[in-house]
Amino acid sequence: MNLKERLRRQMLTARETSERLLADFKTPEDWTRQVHPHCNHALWFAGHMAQTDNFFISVLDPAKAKDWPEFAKLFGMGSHPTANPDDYPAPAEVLATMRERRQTLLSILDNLSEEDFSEPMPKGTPEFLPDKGSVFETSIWHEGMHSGQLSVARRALGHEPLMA
Amino acid sequence: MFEYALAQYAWHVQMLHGIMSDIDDANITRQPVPKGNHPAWVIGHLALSSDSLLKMMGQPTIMPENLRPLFGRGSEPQAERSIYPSKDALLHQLATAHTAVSQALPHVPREVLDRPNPVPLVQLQSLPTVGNLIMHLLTTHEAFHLGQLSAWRRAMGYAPLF
Repeated sequence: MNLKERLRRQMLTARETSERLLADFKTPEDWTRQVHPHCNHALWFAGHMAQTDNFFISVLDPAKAKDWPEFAKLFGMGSHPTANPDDYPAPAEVLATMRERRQTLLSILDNLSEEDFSEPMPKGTPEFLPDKGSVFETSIWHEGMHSGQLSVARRALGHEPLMA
Repeated sequence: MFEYALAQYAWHVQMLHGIMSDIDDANITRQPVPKGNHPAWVIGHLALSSDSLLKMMGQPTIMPENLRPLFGRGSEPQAERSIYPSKDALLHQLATAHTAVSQALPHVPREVLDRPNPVPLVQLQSLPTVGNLIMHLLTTHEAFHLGQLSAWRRAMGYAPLF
């Protein structure tokens, strides 16, 4: 199995885990439930995944990135979640955006060759993304970390662990 | 093949030390969310996961037998502090397992990496080989539990780190 196949499988597995966790958030209040005022909630997670994938897309294929300052303000790095559902778009809309951005990122992956993964990123790209392969590796890690936070919000709703 | 994953894996130990640096040993089994995973369980669970990586790679395992039931799949974190090792001992166990995995992985033959995934979880069906599972355990699995500790810190009132 080559690196491309391994990355794709990791991305799919991470997203499958996230989708299973998200499936247990039903009402608008579930979606914005915070275990603590400093904790991220499920709706922020979904929007943040979309926002981050959009960033990864912007450094790999800028023409496919979206320019959405309002979305970035709600879900970008450094944004602070609020518990009020009215502060956000509807969960279905945010979920649809999260899924669309991931499909776009996967389509970029599918069009890369094994050699492309070691191609350096353009000047100005954050140094934690030294080459194209690292963009996908970071997306996997990043989703894993935030889905761990999401699992705590889900547990607080009374659900049992996914992988008991 | 695993260079970047191993770099992340090494970084997790540094992150974990940062996450735990201001947490008193007496608090590592607190559960601000009922049934939530606390630091003692998470650190021990990650050490045990690395131990399972060693086993998959045909290396000697290092987790003491008496600790395995506390941290294995299906174990439930307990609030009783006295049943877990100290914070320092757990962090040391994890660091030792990480070092052993990082040293062994570059030498694992391709034939081993291409063997079928030995973990029969439906959630891991999209990872068909040992190589897929290793990458998952090095990156996503560890990051997932670090994310739980990040949320635990916040729920306990500690300053958010990430």
